[in-house]
Amino acid sequence: MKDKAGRFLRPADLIAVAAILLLAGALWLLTNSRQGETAEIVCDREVLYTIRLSEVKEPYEIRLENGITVAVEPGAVFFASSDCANQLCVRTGRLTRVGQSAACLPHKTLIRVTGRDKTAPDALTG
Amino acid sequence: MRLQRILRPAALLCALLTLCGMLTGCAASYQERTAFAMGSVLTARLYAPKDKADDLFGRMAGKVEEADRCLSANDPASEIAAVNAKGSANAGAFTRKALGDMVMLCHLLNGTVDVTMGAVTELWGFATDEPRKPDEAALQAALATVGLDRLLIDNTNETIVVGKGQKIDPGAFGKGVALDEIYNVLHTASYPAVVSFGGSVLLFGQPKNGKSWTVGVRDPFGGENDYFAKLSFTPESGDYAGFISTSGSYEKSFTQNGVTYHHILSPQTGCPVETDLVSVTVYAPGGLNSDALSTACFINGLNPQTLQWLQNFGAEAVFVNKDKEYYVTDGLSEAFTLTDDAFTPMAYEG
Repeated sequence: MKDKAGRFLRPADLIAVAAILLLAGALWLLTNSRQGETAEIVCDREVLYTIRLSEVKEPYEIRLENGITVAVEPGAVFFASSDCANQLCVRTGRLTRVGQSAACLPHKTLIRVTGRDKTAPDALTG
Repeated sequence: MRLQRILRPAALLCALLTLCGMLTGCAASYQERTAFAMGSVLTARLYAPKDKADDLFGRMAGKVEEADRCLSANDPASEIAAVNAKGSANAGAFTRKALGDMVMLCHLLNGTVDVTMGAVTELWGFATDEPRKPDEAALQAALATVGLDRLLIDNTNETIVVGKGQKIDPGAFGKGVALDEIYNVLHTASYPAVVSFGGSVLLFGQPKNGKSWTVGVRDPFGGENDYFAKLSFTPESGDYAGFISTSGSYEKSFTQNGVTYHHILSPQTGCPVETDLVSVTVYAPGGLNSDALSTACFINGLNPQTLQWLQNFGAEAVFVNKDKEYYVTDGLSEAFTLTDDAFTPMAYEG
């Protein structure tokens, strides 16, 4: 019989290490896909909706109580319509990348795309 | 055998550490909070635990609302609105101090910005949904009311008095005042934060792991979310605060009889300032200074006097003209990275 204690690592150890590393890898993949673009709809100070844009298969619309309709598409979110006077929110157009946002000030409503993107700046000035 | 005793746990430990790293790395490192105030969006990324973030943001938003209640020219209930309506009205300590700071800046910037322009800005109506070119006679009459020498801040009687027909417009300064108040709140705790308020930005403290703060500079020719360059700052200490503010002719404008009018009015003519510039972004150690300077630099243009102002305030700036050319002051050249190749450096010999 071989002297197992003579080896650096027993096969069981290697399996344990490999299993843990696999688990880590799987978690990394899972969390990274979950960290993909997420759309948030904020009214006043409250986040009313959180939508994973990568999981959106069919376009749909969300009608808010304040007269705003937000359109959600695979990978995009935007103000479809608002009964506000200036229509700036609708004119901002489609949001597809992390860090982008659009606001309807008369209705105190904001939509934004959050998630992990190392190239996205922390803030915008302008 | 002894080696094995060390190696086994070591290997397992390494693997476990990797796992832990993955787990902590994926947790969101900041809390994002949003509020609506002063007709703008206030957003804060707070690198703090949830309960601390809630507390800090609540206090920040409270300060902004307080500033708005005091200074808003559009809210009839504000102290400034009362002064504008009656020519003289009581004003609390906050309003008197803030207005005094604004007046001092107007003086230091040779009247290039003027807080007593209210009658003129009201005529143009950029704060309303229906801006329009004013009647020439009305404009001249409004322009005649402009002047810091007719404004009195009476600390003894706790009142503010304006000249006949004169109106205060804190528009070019309000967000700056609010960001300074926000800074005071953040300074009571030591959590790093990035605060955006209607296009002005406050960077506070040190980002985690020796990283840099990055701020996109709006592309004046693009949409609301487009930027043409990035500014990166790597603070040396946790006490760091940087304020970034932009004045751009693209922000508010309207077209009447084929002419486009933007909202940055010259206190000399009462009309939108005629310039080759389309935006000026100012980086300064204070919110009010950054806000006022971006407007003053836009109106005064890129010239030695403007650069002197920036230097005196410890500020730096990025100028952009209508030919998609940019000029970056020396102190900001390292922080500046162009991200849109359609923009080229401006030929300006400072």
